[in-house]
Amino acid sequence: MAANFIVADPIIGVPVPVSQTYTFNATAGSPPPFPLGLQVQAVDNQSGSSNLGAGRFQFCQGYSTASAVSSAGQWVQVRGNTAWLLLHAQSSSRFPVGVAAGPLSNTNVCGWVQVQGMADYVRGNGVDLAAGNPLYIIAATAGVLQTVASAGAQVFGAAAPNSAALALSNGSWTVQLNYPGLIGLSALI
Amino acid sequence: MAANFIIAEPFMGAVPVTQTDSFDVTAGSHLKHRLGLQVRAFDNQTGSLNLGAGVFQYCAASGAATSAGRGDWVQIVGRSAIPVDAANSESRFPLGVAAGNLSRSDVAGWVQIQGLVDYGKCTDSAVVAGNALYVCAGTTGLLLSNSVNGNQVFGAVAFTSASSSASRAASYQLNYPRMLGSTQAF
Repeated sequence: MAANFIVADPIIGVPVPVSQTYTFNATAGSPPPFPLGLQVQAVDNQSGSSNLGAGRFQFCQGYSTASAVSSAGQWVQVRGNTAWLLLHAQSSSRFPVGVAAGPLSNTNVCGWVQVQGMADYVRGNGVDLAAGNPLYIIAATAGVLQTVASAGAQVFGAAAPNSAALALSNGSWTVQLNYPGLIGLSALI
Repeated sequence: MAANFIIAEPFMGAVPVTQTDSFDVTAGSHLKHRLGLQVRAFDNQTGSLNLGAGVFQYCAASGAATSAGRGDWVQIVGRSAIPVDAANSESRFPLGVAAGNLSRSDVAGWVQIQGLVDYGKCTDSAVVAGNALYVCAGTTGLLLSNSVNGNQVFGAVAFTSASSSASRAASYQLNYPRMLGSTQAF
């Protein structure tokens, strides 16, 4: 990611980059370093006009195999304290949504999911993205949203501040997050 | 409740979120915390049932006639917590779950607005994990999974399913909930 978000919260103590993930094994005496579900403030440390300011991140556990996050910038659904790669098949549920800041690659890995503020490391889908328009889960590709309407798959609480045309692998789509979630509308609005 | 949330902000002591505070400003007993203050708390229970962290907001109760018990769903109107009622469903105030007994207007306490809840209340109808929730038309302070036109809540789901015989106890996941206000049943 271009943004360089660092957790700057006295509840944490030491500064932590949000891209950092941790392997844990609670039964073997190495629990997650922070409580799962914890929301913290982070500030962007990059210099210049691209600085994104501050954002809020939630500490989550990864999910297994096919529904695991492989890279930063993928959209996830936060079920309990676990981040699942966001799938079109899950669009009827109402769990919160966010953007993974690191690869939450398995159930023994935990890390941060951005839920508020600007994110400039979000993956696009190769289709032109319209600023300010609603976002929808893509049927064909897990962990990616688009502005092309998809009935029943609308996300509420997230929008692109700038239009862009990006390839799927680009990972530099900028999105503004406001505690997003699935709205479940079957109609196209 | 099984959860044992304790506030863990550097600017506060370790306050259990179940604690409520009586106050009488005119008699000189002021509120212990600022109304509207949002804080993070950790679940102190041990084992696999630990719920992690959550966010709570300090609110005044509304009055004896509209008191909220622990686990009741409330609407935060200004800085007061009022049990949700179908009659309020057209408003767009934030929602939360009372963590203590907000019994009278001279009592203040905490309302959970983010994170996992294992002390929430539901109706006698089954609650389905992940589905949309609606304000109950018949009883204040309760949500249910059965669709009620115009009463849908955005930002809250049941984390686990609960049967109709679950003694009105339900586990919820909160994401700063509020009334959606849509008249569609979806």
